[in-house]
Amino acid sequence: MSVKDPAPSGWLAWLIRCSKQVLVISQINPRRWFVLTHKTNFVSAVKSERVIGGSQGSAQANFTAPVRSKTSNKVVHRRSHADEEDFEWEPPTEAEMKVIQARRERQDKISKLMGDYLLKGYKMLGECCELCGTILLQDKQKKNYCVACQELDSDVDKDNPALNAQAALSQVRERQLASQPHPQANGVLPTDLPLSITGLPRPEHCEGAASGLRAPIPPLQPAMLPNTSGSPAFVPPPATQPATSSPSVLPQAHPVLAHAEEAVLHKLRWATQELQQAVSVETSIQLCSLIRTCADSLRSLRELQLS
Amino acid sequence: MCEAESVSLQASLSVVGALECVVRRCLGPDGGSVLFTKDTGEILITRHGQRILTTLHLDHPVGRMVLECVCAHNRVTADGSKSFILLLAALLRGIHDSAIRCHKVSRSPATPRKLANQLLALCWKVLDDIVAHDVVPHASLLFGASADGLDCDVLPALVRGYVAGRVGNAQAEVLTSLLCELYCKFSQEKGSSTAEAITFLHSSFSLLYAKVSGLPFGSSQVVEGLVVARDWSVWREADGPVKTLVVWESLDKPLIAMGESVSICFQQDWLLRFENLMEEKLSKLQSLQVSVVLSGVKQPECVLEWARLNDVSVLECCDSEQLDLLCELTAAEMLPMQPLVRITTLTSYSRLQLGGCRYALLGVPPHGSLKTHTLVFCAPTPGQLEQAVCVSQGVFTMLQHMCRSVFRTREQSNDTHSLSDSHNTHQREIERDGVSRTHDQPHMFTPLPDSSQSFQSEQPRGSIKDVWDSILHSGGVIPVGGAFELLLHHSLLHCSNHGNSEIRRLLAEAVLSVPRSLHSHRPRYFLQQHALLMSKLQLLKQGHTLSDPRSGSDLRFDLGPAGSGPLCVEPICSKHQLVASVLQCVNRLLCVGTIILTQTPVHRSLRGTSEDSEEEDM
Repeated sequence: MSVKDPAPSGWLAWLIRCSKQVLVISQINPRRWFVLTHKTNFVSAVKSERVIGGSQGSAQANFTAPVRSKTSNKVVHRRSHADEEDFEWEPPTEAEMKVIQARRERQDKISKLMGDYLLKGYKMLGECCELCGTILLQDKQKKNYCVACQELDSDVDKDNPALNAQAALSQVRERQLASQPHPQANGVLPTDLPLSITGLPRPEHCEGAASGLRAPIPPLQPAMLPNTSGSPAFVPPPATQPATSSPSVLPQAHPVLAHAEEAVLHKLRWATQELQQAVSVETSIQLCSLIRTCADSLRSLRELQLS
Repeated sequence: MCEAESVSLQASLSVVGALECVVRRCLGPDGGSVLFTKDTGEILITRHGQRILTTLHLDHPVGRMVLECVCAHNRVTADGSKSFILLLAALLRGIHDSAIRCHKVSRSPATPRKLANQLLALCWKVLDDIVAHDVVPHASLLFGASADGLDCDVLPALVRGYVAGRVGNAQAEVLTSLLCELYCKFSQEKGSSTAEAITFLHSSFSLLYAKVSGLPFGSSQVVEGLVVARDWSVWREADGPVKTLVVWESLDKPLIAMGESVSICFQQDWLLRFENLMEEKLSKLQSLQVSVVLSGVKQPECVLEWARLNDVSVLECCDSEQLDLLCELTAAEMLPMQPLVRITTLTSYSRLQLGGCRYALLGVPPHGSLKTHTLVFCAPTPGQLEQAVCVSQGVFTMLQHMCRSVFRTREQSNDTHSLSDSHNTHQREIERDGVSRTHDQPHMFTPLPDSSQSFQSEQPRGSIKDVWDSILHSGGVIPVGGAFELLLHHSLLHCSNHGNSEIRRLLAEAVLSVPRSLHSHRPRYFLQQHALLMSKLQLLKQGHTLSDPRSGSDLRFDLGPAGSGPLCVEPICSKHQLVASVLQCVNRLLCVGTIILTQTPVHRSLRGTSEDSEEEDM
């Protein structure tokens, strides 16, 4: 035992040596008690309130052994048999559950896509993708295809307003379209969007954004469409687009600007909330970029209002 | 988890997850079929698990390993390929979650492999006991306390249970009745307590059917005798038993007796001598008073001419395996000095018109207790014919597997009963040693000295009518739809004296994934049945008896509306074998340490060894 307390002497020392597991009540605070094991240099903190009914104390140990501090009430009993597996199950924390759940859903989606492609005649290779580690598929033209890189992430990014500024803007436009009685169908913002990696348009995923694009363009300049990293992949179906493309529409009425500003502020607020709850780095980066975009939009709106 | 462990687990999870998504939608009677199209334009519509899996292009070594395991399992039981994949996926996911948890709690390495080893240990040591003591007794009780008055036929229920998930509903009924009729006509004696007919049908089914394309499915029938898919070259009508010559080679080949020396010399009149030789041969045949000649090859014109002149019917180009079977069934005799010629007696021969073709029908005398019949499959398309044939073959494989395991357990239990007798002769001691050894290795066949007669052991109860009744009463069958999985789940969770609780919990959770997928379109019904079964088991535990006088099963897991439709059952040994096979497959997969890819070409056959090497990290 590596402890900083003075070594127990006499019968206590004998007891500690003989037993495999020792329950020690700290002399400093009797309400804190710890379970020590000899063989594993490990200390578990036991909340004393179950037995004594005392107040909750932090799991501070006076020992140098590393302390596993759990944030919730847990009792961990350690058996010191080296050959006996410890299968005591602790319920995972909420954050861990979310991560596990997200990972499982992603894996399920990948499996489903892979199953669909296998039925279409794709061959499952023995190699894995270098970027994400998913198993590669090969089509009849001997071209390798990774479902995760080329389909899954781009879909998710494309439609999720939290992760894609473009989708956020299209949502804004949709709302404006809904609020205005006569949609003036002139404008298509020139979208120089990159084609998908496979080179295939996926119109079934773009209807929302496409209908948003068909709406009268609010006074947002084309420069407002940044291409964030990891962004998408779609080409709006050209046949359904109106032919003309006017780059900008002059502000016609204040209410339009006010509406736009309100929508952008709303989106900014929402993105901030999401950012507070975000768990992964990537999501946070994308949310920050959305916030930056919203701020740029607001600045441009204010300029327009002033001008 | 250390890296090597996680690699094999991750790879297995990805591959098996993809396969699961493929087969899950084809599961059960309500599942769909997969349509495969070749570049040549041929299409294949199937919902047979093994067929689907073998048609996919799987080059991943883990995928090929899984496929080999599925095929090996299918060869034994002809059942459960899709359930295999579902159970495997659920187990791997359970192991993955368990390993993550253990990794957080303790930093012990090699956890997935340890779990796999523990699962395998559970399979070898504990699973048999659990199935025998906790599942089988409840299975026979599921058929109600009215088992004595049970009037359901086990064989049609078994066949229906197998066929219903594999062909369409209309076809299922027709096929069930056909197969039961074939079995009944084959085994002449009613109330036979042997499974000789099943064994014979299983081994020779490929020779006992004929396919006719272009007719509706309802035209399928069972005909008496052996149908040869050829028409008579020379036909002469006759009745009654006839002597038949069976030849496997052309009659104009010089019939050289074995051991004689051959002298070759050049002769001017060779043709004349040859004709003389032929005449001699044919007159010898005529002296045998043969009325029918069955030939495995095409005979020369002179033989046919001779046959026409002498009122002999000739059937050419027969399948040599069918000729072998015929000789075996009729105990054909060999002619002296002529190894490739046999002589036998047929009860009759005739011409059969099926669809647009003519076939030859040969009447075969009874062979022991077996009377030969042939199943004629009719279907509009060749694809459906193939499907029907495949399903029928599978039915007999399944029945054969079931009979074998039921008889094996009966032998073992008979032997253990006889051990408690007071007669302790030396013979008994030898048998005791044999039995105790086999108890440790439950999957090895017991080579008892009197195994051939033990099939006809004394009937334990007077109400047993035949072998199927005895199977029903000994708890060999269980209603389809998830009853076995529910019982096993319950037993694993509640038996506390076997093995590690975490491992049992893992297997119990995984086992439920199969019925959940089966009933995915009506989860509420499944939950209701689950609750009903649990309450019945609770009553049993408290000592009440299930006194329900209804005939048939109390617990109907029918996949149609609850309570309707005829009873469908499945053999417990197949499900048991499935669980054992999956546990062994999991162990194989997770013992792989590293996968090394090489550049040599890969053999496409299932049985061929792949050039990609997989090193096992021992």
